[in-house]
Amino acid sequence: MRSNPCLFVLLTLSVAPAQQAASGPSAAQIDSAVRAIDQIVERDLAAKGKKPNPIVDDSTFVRRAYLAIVGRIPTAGEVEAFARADASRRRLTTIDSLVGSPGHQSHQFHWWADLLRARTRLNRQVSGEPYMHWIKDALAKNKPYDAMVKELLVAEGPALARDNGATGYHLRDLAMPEDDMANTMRLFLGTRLECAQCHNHPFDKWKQKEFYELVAFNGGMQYRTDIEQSPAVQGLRDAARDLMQEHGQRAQQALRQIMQTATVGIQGSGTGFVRLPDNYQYPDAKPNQPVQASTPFGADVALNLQTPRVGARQPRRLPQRANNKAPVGQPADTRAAFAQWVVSADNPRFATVIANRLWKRTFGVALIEPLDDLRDDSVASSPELMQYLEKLIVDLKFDLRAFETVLLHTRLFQREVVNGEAGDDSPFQGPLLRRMTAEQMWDSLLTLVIPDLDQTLRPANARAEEAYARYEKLSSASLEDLKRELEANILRQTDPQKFRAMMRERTAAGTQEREAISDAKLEQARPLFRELAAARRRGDEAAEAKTLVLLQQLGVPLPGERARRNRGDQTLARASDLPSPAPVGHLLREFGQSDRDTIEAGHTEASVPQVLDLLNGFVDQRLLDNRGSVLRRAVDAEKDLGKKITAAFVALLARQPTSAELAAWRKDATDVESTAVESTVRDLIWVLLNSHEFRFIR
Amino acid sequence: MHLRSLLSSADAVTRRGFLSLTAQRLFGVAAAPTLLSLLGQDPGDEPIVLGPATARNVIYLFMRGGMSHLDTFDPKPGAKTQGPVQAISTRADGVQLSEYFPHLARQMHKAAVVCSMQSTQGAHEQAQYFMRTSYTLRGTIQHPSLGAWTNRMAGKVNPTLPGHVMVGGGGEMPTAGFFPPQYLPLPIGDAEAGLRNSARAKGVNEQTFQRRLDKLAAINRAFADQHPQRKVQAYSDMYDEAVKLMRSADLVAFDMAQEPEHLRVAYGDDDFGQGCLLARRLVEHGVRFVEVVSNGWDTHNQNFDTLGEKCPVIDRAVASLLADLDARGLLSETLVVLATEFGRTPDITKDNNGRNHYPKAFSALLAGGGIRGGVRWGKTDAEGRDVVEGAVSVPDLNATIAHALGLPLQHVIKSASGRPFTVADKGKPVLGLFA
Repeated sequence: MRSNPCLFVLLTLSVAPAQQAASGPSAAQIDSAVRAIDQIVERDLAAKGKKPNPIVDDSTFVRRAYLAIVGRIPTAGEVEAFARADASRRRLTTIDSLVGSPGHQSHQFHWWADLLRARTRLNRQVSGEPYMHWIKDALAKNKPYDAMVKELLVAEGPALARDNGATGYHLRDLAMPEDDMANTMRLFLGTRLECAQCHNHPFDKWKQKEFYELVAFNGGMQYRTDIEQSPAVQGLRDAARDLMQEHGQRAQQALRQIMQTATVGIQGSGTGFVRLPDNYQYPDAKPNQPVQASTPFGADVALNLQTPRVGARQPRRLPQRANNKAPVGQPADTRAAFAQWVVSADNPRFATVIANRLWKRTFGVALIEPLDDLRDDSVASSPELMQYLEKLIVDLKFDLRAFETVLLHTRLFQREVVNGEAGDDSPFQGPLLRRMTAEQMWDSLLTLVIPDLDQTLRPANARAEEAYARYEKLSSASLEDLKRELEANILRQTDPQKFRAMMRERTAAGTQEREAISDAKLEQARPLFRELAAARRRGDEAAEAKTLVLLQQLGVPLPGERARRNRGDQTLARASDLPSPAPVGHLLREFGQSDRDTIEAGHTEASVPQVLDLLNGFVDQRLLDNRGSVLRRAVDAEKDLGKKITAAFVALLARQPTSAELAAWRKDATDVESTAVESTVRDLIWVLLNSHEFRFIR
Repeated sequence: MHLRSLLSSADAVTRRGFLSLTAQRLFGVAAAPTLLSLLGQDPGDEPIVLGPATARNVIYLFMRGGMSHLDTFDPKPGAKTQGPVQAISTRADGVQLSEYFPHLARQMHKAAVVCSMQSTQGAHEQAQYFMRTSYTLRGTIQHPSLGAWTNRMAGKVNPTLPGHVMVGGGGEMPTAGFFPPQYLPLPIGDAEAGLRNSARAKGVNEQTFQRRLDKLAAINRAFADQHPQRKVQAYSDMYDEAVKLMRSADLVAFDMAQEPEHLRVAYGDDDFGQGCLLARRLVEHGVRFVEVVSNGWDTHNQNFDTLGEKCPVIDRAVASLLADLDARGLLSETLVVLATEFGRTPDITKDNNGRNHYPKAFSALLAGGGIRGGVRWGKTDAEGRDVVEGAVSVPDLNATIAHALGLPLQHVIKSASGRPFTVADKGKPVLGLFA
């Protein structure tokens, strides 16, 4: 097998010492933690009369490590490079070279996006890209987990301003402060309170009043910033008023659209008070009565509150928005106090939850299942290990990269898989056999198509720039610009076709300043753009490709970034560079990508569309028929059938074929005709891609 | 699989924890009773006992965006809120439709109009979610849509085909909520294109396909022996099922080319018309719940111009659907529902000639599946502002559909976190609509 020299060089270069924060833990600290964990795990096993599973062979390890850390299968070049590296150290050095790499950040992003319900659009009008950028940025900087959580909880200000994406967290539950709090308690403290939203918890100890005492920390939080006083907004309002003469209501609507971009955000430091619901039914308080912020467990929180001068009178309500009760009390920084309580070392559940999450992510089963429904009487499958992990993550100052490195360095990570289920409470003989996540599947398929996949990752801010630019434009625009914007928005309503044409021209003109295109050309291209959109809607890849070629021949820039992003097409970009979630019908969704509506909504179950896609869709169209794909090039470069077979096994499964496999596949092409060889190669690739061994991680 | 691991997986209480243990159950095939089905329907739940049903299938037509009631099924001739759209008589005495529906008018003796729908939700996303699930949108849980409830409770009719299909719509789809993902609808983007990837890839003949499958089975068998896990087995079974589907005579359900030209024309040469025709083909082949979506009803601007384009499409398609189902003897077992998330304001906006969101009063149409035809249920006032008689809430409408299907309205199914839910969230079926 020939190695790809280019890939090899890349890997060699990246085998640098792991990128740890300057104040990160020492190698000795990592090593002693690794030893301690393995000791506890193996002692637990011995106590139960069980043996740890054997250590896996190199090819199983390298595939597992790449999937676990960078979320995709290794390339043939990477497999080769591993084989050439110093056998005494290569497993750990490979882990260290991958942790912290761009591929690692991309893989971590999906996990966080599922937990934090990060979406490309927070709602119909508002971009969620700044929120996603914030997550990617935190991962790139390896921001300590406690700092991350605190930033999310206290975020304030405009949602679309640069570096303020953390506001997306509360905006995910816009105007639903109760759901927001229930999600927060579940996500960060593993405490399920949503039952107590409407009544005392039937199985756990929580009272409805206690729930509202938590909600009170976010009392008075608003989902719009207060920029009414700014001159820009005043000017815009005047402009809209002028335009109303001519365009009536439409000018008002156009203004609203602009204002939405400009004003969406989080405001209010927390009053520490909130009213009980109208239908409150317990004797310990009255309906509508304001309750004061208080925490149900952990340390007491000292607050400096001014008791509001309100009785149990009915609050003012805005029509059709039952949730929108008038705030009670004065701003008193209670949101910051709450955030501090959540992440405090005294909070008994904060470290437990994140340690369990990362353990589960690495090994497939948490020490407490389910990890986000902790009760006072929850017992870990290994209390000693749980305690150690909680202490470790605190000692590591919530450095998640370091914590993950410890777990990956254990012998346990290198052991053969167990075939159990996620609910098993058996001790840890090895990691759980798992199907690739949707994103691992997609990114692995791309690894077989696009060379140097990790180098194609876009900067963390790339997708958010448009939202920032729009916000910045609006918040610093001259009156003339704002008027133009208003007029464009009006045009959108009165003549959508003309509006789209105008936007296309603007986009085209923007991307094409170097190479001006004539109006005539754009005119010619317009039907092609329509055809392209239609072909993509139909999923007709042949028509799509044909149209793209015609557009290229015409010398017209391809539809802009925005258009591509918003369409439901299967652009061959890394999952973390695609819309979140991917559109319905996308391979990612077929394989169970989270819809981001609830926490951890992703799944790895089999379904008809995903199986049909692999049987008759993606494999044939994108890989077998695509001679330019990484996989085809690697296989086609070999003359000898045996070497072709080996190349396919290495590229897809990161291992050599067994002699029996080699013989069996050779037998299929005994006649020397090249058609037989080609058909064997196609069969082989198809079979391996559809195999259990491909989709499951051993 | 060992008894112990079966039971422990049954105990798992993660969101996706209540997953069926074999692909038979993933597909809803009741070929062999599984361990859990012997123990009861599902861990922690009472067995589901279905009531008498008047309908077997549902074709749910969703007018996404909010359909104006005054300009469609609840016209108010002479009222100042009526605008330029006239009312016409129908084959049913006392039931008038707007002039946009001349074809449907001739089918109205088969259908009931509910003029007294009411919702509590006035924003699209929330209102659509409420219509489909009967619960209000929350951040902490997802509720199953009615199609998911139907398949969860009543099971599939045809074991080979999916039980829940959504045609068109483009954007988001109804959720399986806290039910396993097998209850998600199978999305069909374009009725004409049929089920994606259900035919062999270009250049792969049956012989090649079978050769590949044989080799795949061999390599997978070895893996499954080495890794006896539920999910591995589920994949083996799912491949068998998918191939069975590809080769099934029932796959023809998705093949619109089978329909005669005159029928395709009658339904309308457009996405919605062809979607309705596909829906008929699917229920004919035993798909229990099909939703067809029509987009673009959010008529804040130029309400009348827009409806002048949209309504004829609906008129043609729904009238053809009712006539076609009837001619095939399918109408008696198929409940056709035409619904929307809310109505539109009786007052016409002066400068846009539009109507805004209006959850206080709107209309729905039901036909077949035991529904009394030629009926007008409920009443709004003279200007279409308020429901004055026979109010039907969103859960009531869904309870009516569930009742027709024989789904037990009291039966509690718990989410993974133990919260109790019922189909149609305590809505009351409108019994007066049934024959």
